[in-house]
Amino acid sequence: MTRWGFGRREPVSEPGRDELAAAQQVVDMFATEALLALDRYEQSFPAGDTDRARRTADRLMDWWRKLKLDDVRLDPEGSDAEQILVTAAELCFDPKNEWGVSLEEASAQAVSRAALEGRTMPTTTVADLREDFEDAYGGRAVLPERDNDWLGQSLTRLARASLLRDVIAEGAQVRVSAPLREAGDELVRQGQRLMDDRRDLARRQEAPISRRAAFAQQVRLTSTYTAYSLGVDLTGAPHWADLALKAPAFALYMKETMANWRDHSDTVASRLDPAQAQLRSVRNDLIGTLGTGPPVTRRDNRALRNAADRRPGPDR
Amino acid sequence: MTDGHLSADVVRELIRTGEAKPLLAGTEVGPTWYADHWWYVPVGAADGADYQPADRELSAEFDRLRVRAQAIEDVQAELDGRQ
Repeated sequence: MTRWGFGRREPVSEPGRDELAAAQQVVDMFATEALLALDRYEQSFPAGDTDRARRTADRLMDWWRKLKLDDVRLDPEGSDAEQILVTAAELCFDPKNEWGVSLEEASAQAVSRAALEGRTMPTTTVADLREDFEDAYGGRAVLPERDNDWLGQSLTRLARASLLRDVIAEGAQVRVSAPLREAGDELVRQGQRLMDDRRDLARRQEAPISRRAAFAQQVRLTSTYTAYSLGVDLTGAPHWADLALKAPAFALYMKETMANWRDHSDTVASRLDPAQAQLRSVRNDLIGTLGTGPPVTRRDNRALRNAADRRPGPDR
Repeated sequence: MTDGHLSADVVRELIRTGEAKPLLAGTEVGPTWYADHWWYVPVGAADGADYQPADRELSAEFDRLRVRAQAIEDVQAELDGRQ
């Protein structure tokens, strides 16, 4: 059923490695979100419900078919979430499997298949995904009331992201329109505030320094897709945000912008004000010029300057 | 059109007037259907580069991607109808 990316013809022009990698990361983000949504759907059945596995499988198959996700070139060495989600779908569509699907079973099978095929085995469990989601977003996520709606929405976002990635993989340039870039900036500001809040919470809880880097990484990733996915709720459902969320290239733009925020977040974490941050930037420039320390890229400096110049977003 | 190419400005105007249709909604540069052909700007081309016609093989791929894009829009309409 699923095309694993083998036997593809070569694109007319080699796509930019960075663009393709960024697009793949957006696919990973929404695969993670779809797994969380599938988990919530599965958990919505009463304990001991004997139909749970079958009904979960039926629901996933329904959305999968409608979105033509069979035609998506999924990466056999993609993220853990992508591997688990694909395995769940394959279990659903297996004609010999009348039982249905559970995420626990899909996770275990994804590990077995990776081992058999000599690929890197997924190490993330559904429990990890739940914990990361809670860490990054706390109780502030406003999820769709109906579990099936969240599943459909998240799989639609996954389908959009994979479509975008496949267009780029064909060697075509894609750039989001200016009005959507402006809309994206606003949603990114929402996500940034969430990230700062959650990082601040981690500091107050005195998370071990050794865990902070991993925590920050997860917060950034999860805040990006949750701010994107739930942006309409976060921003009071303005019309532009609604439009932006349906444009696949928008997700890519947002992800890249959020990545640039990393330097700002590090600055906040160090409790530097913008002037101090600018000084640090200059100092890093000098260090980079002398070649005695880690080079600071132009992108790093641009992100710091943007952080200092950034207009505060409107309170909603 | 010059030498089988279309400038980005021309394509933008064609999209605005509805004569051309982009494969991906919300993009100002991307594969676009116009005059029974697919047009695109190759990755790596300079900012503002002209659109060029896709060859038969690439056009077939864009056709397949358009089917997926339509499926997504159909599901989106269903989801919007539930709200």
